[in-house]
Amino acid sequence: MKLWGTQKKVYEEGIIELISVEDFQIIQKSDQFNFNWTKEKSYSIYKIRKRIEEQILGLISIRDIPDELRLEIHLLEISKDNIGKKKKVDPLAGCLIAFACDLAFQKDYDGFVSLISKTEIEKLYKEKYGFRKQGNHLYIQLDNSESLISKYLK
Amino acid sequence: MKNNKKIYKDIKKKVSKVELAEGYYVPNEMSKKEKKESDGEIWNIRKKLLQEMSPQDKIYSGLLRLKYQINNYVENENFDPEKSISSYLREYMSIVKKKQKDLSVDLDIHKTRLSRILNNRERISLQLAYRLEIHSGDLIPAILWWKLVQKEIEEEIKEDKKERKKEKKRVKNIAVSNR
Repeated sequence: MKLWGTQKKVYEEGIIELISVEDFQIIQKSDQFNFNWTKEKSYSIYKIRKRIEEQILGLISIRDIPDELRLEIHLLEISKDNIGKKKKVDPLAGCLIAFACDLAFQKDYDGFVSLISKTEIEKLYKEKYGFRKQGNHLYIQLDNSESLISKYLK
Repeated sequence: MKNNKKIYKDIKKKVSKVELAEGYYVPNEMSKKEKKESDGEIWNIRKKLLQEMSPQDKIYSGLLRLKYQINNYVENENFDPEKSISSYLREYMSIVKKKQKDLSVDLDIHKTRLSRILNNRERISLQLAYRLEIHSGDLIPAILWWKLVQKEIEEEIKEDKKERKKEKKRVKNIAVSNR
């Protein structure tokens, strides 16, 4: 996937991978993340970084629910340096959400990814990422998931 | 240590609404009962959507599954003999519900050749990779089939001592030797 470096004004190759045991300490010591990611250990936690650098730029924890053929985004956080007008790398959240969609296809879940709706994210997730709202949930599947992957992971 | 609810509340005070949506997602904290009800609600939505899927939707979803599985494998450095071109091609046939004979007609190749490919006795050609791309409705790009071929060839080069020995006999005047 291509990550846009806002300072150098160039695209750089990015990767998303499972976090390692050592990463928990790095995250905890870093001033870039607020949430307690060790609490997410029961889920799959992935990090996004530039291919040539080890620095973690964002994190996502994903709950796999095979009985319901779906993945649920449980927690997502972008590093402080990459939020707002002064962000150094973009688009990180889109890439992490699209990665969840990719996994949901690979697992034969029809690209179905859900999360519990919150007022703060609803507009963005519906308009920018193509999620739909039903009850207390936002979900994405099939064509919308594929569009998100094409947009963010190519 | 603060819980996620408190942390999120603190973040909300420091960043704009847009930044909050772009940079953070944490679900509302729920009791076990609330969580169970919430999970029940999304499961009902999921079941309904599964029932509404058309045969075409199922093929579409299956082909995307195959595409991302192949992509994940070719991006991975490790070689897995179980993940051969023939195994992926068999999976392709299962998704599009085609038997060997039907697929050979669709792709305009001799059924014996398709059989040889499915039995790992022949590799797919670039032309066949293009035809498979078109047959999948452009969902599985030719480059992915080709990367599978490359991966198999790379493994063969690493492991095939017999062929290397055979070819050595045919080479004369080796440019640099015994260093």
